[in-house]
Amino acid sequence: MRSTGRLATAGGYVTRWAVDTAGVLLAMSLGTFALVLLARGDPAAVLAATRAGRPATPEQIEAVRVELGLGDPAPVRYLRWLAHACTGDFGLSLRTNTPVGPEVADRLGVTLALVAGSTAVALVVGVSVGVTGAVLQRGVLRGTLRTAALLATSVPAFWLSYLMVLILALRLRLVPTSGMAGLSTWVMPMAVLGLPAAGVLSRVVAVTLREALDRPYVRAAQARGSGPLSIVLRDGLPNAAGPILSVAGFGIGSLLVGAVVVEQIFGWPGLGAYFVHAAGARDVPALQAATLVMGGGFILANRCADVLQGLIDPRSRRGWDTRPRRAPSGGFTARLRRGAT
Amino acid sequence: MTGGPRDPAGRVWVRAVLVAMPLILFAIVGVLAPVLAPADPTANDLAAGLLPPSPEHVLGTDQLGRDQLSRLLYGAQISLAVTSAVLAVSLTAGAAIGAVAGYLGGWADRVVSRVIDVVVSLPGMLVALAVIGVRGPGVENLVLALSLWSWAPYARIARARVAGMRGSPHLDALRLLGAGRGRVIGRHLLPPALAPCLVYASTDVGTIVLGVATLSFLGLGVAPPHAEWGQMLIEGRPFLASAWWLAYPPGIAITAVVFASNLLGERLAAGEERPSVLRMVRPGRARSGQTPEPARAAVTAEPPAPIPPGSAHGSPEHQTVLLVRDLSVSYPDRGERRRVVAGMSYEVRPGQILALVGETGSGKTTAALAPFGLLDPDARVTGSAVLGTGPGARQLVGPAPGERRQINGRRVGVVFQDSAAVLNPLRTIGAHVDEAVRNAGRGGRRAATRRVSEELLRLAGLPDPAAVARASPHQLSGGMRQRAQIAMALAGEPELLVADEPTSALDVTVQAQLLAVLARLRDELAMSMVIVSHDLAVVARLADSVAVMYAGRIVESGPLAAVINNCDHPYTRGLLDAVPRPGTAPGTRFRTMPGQAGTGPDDAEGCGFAPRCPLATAACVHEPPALETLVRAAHRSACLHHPGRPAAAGGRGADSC
Amino acid sequence: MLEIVGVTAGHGGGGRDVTPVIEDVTIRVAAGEIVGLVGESGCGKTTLARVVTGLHRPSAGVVRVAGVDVHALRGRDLRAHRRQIQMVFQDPYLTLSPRQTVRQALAEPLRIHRVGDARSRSARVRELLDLVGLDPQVGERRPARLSGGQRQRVAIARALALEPRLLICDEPVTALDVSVQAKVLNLLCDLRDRLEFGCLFITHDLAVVSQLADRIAVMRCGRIVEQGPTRDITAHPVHPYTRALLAATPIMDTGISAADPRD
Repeated sequence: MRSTGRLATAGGYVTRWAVDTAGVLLAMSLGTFALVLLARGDPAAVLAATRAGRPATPEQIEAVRVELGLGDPAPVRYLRWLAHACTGDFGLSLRTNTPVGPEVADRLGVTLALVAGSTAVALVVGVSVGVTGAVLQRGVLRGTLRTAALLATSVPAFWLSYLMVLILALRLRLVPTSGMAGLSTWVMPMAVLGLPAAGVLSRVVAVTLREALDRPYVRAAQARGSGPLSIVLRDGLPNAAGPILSVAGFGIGSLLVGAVVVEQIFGWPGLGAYFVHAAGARDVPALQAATLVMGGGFILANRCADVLQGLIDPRSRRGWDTRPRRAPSGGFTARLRRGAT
Repeated sequence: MTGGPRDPAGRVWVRAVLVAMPLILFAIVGVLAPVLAPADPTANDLAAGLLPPSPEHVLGTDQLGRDQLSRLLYGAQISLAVTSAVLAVSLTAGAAIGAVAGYLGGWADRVVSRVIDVVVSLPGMLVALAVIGVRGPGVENLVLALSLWSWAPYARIARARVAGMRGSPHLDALRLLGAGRGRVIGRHLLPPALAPCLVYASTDVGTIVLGVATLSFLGLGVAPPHAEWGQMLIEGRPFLASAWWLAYPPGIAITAVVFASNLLGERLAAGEERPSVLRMVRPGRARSGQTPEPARAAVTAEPPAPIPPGSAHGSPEHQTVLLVRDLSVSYPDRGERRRVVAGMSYEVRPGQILALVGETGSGKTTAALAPFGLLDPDARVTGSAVLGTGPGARQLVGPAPGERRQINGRRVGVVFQDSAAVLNPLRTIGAHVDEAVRNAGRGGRRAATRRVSEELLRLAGLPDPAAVARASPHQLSGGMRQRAQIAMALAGEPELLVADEPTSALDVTVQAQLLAVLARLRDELAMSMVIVSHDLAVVARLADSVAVMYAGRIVESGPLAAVINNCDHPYTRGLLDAVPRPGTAPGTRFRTMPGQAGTGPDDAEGCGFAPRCPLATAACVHEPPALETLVRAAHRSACLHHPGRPAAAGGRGADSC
Repeated sequence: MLEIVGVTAGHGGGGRDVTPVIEDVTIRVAAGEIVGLVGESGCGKTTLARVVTGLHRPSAGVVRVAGVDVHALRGRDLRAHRRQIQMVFQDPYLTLSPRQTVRQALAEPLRIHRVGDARSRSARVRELLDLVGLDPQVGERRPARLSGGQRQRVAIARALALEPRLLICDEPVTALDVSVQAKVLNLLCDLRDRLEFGCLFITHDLAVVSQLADRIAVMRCGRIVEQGPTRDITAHPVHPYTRALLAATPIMDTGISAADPRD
């Protein structure tokens, strides 16, 4: 036997995963900080102008520069920025001269609510459509579901929301066109964000579940006399779970990004809308904060799916399969070997 | 056998072009926009604002009186330009970086892989938004913002391909031939690495077009007054309710391009993975796209043959555990059905081992698994197969799924060839055996079931059953997995054990032990078995009787000693000659059969072996010879000439065997 | 022709091998001789093949082909010397490029070493196809459209294109049906008689080498446990492992076939 106990290895796997994730997050923070270097214009000048309410004098700019520590070498600034960021302090917005941190925290709640709602839509619709597709052999329904799923992934979110506004809000007058008050305002944003993700998810569920059900071990289970339900639950879904999880992780991450568009269109005061304002205004500290928070959320969602996949399927843990294979340890050879050494 | 994937490939291409039609249109329109557009897309005409579609303005005008159709066409131009630029940069850079890293290996590969990992795990659109946020809108910044992350998947794909090939015998062979680095990379590594990159690019077109439109929609992409699809939508937003023609055309254009790109990518990727040749060669193997549920494993449309009355109450020597008569199996093949097994009859007697022997493609596995509903759902099985005699006898061809489950796992146990594939990788060996025990109706509470399982594992020759039960399949050696399969097959205390190539791919010493286990089951438990094997030497160690198969038919069958020592059929003769015999002088040539193995029972009108047979005469090619009984009862052969029959062939057959 | 003297090799970096896979292996192969190397999976057979062909560097010992130390060569000399040693792998499907036709695959070594012009190369390719008993029209096919036996013939033809003096065969018939295996083994014998190359034939199947090889070396856990003329090994094995291997190898003529006149 090639390994001792599943738990010990799983523990090591989780530790390695955590270190890896920290590395990726650190790399992302470095990239986020590097946005300053890519920026056109002088942040100090912008902030000074904001404070003064008119183009600032060189003295004012210099004062801001000293206050922000912009004269220090880049590594020092990075470490200081990172240390502050860890405590939730992202500096002052260049446009409003107010702290960025609390604003981001306020808006994060709205975005998370939107993402949670659309995740639910994506999971329910995606998994049910996908399982139906996998179980159906052929026929009109299967083809329709497949085309619909692909179409859902292809429609741009902003245009989908136009269609919904035109039909649901303006023609049928079922829901308000925008805003965030009352349940009815949640319908369109969640649908616009959740349906494309459901399309992707349903394709993956259909394909991977179908593949899992075509594996030889399914035939072996039939040979043991197992029933269809047992086969789908024990052999089909667990083996399909890996790709489904990783796509689900990626999908939830993408919802964070999709929220940027949806919040903008439906006038929700979320982090995505904040991001767009900041980008339009080239407000670097605000951009950095939004990028770090949303990017971090995206990466965490992805990585969590990975770790779950590894826990379900020991073979997919990185490094497992790269170990050199030992000779078959069946009785005879093993005995000979023991006799030799 | 080497069935040409040529014409399906041609059809695949036609379909791919059809699917890609919107993409092709997109490219043409993008290039020819200045020629096709009826008006200047940026020319304002406030007097003609918000006009609905008319012959003059086919798609109407926007709030500034600009011609919508012209703007749509020029939008394609900008979209195409940005997409091409991003694709060119990321495909070239990505494939080059990935291929070099994959070829070099070592620390360079590790560093590049880490960078790729990080970039791939970043949210692309967020990066683009952030970069444009600090750089400002504009086409150049758009290309920069999108290229910054879109190279990574190409690098990952190319790296994986090249790294996969780096350690392969293919490259070893080239190095041994003396090929230099440049030749290896340029001619043998890059082309196969580029192919999947291009497949990915077909999907990436959609992603990039969508990205450009989204950024422009947010006011961060292409700056006004240039026409861009996303830009057109955001500009038309205030007039949505009144001017519907502003809302639909750009959205339809984006959706069509992205949809075509997604569909094309999905098709190309599927085409690449489709193992068409494999399926042709081994119709018995699992096919994708078919349900394996027994509920749908429709067997035959014809009513099953009644149980032959004579077989029910015979003397002990007429008792059979499995009596198969005229079994045929066919698969759909380009609109018609193609038989892979034809008119097979065999029987297994209590406590005896029947070996089905044949070469690749002879249909031996199909013939062995067909009675138990273990073939693909589109297999059609006809004929009769009766399990047991007397009141417990069951017709196996065409029962309901529920009845099937009363037989499989209870009265019949099956051991498959590829033990790595037939065990669910996510479940422990114990879980597998427990399930088999419960299915057989011998389970109790969890601990009791496990005790039975461990007993079965011990019976299969595993010395430490408790430890094996806790292990996952991939933690065991091939020999141990095969023993675990035997334990599962024994769970129902079956009358019959079917083993498909139980020892191939195992070391000889391990093989010898497994054969010993099987022999013990027969000798001590009087278990009957059907063993499928390509190896006559293995069969000679174990079997009581042998059926030799060629191209889907039995050509000779009988007791082991009779078939081996007094073989009759020229094919059996040829197989025996091909087996190496220690003791012969080194360098002794084998007597060989000319030609290649036949493929199906209906490919030749007469005897399937006739084209390769030294004894073939004109009579042989007319109709397939029937199995005829030879001198000794139960020894039968399907050859017109019967070279093994002393009277027929003089001394030749008898002393040559 | 081939001298393997005291070779030790294993995985791990540089000169100090962490885990030796083969230890102190000494085998000699004369011109025109087939030596069978027998062992079970994981015993180091393939590592030895890679060391002999120069793909893997040994931590101790020498490999000499025609008197030249394979591992002392570098760059151009090494590539030139490689013409002398060629190898046939277990799975020809993995060693032939799926994109090249048989003709292109056979011309590849000639092009690499810039042998002849287009016309003479094409003549040589025809000659090679004929040598391994393949129909000329097979030359236009790609590996996917060949049977297993045909692929292995192509692999052998490619290995022989540069007229090597030593052929290493790593399980060349393991994936083939017996009737096809017999043909490929006959072909190897014929070619050896005609071209007089030395051959190291690596296999797990004692039965195959006992009819093919002039001498047999038995390998276990990276060491040669017994070595000698084929008849001595099969008739009077000395080492217990060789005996165990012989006992486990299914052999047609034993046991039931007492009536066989050849016994």
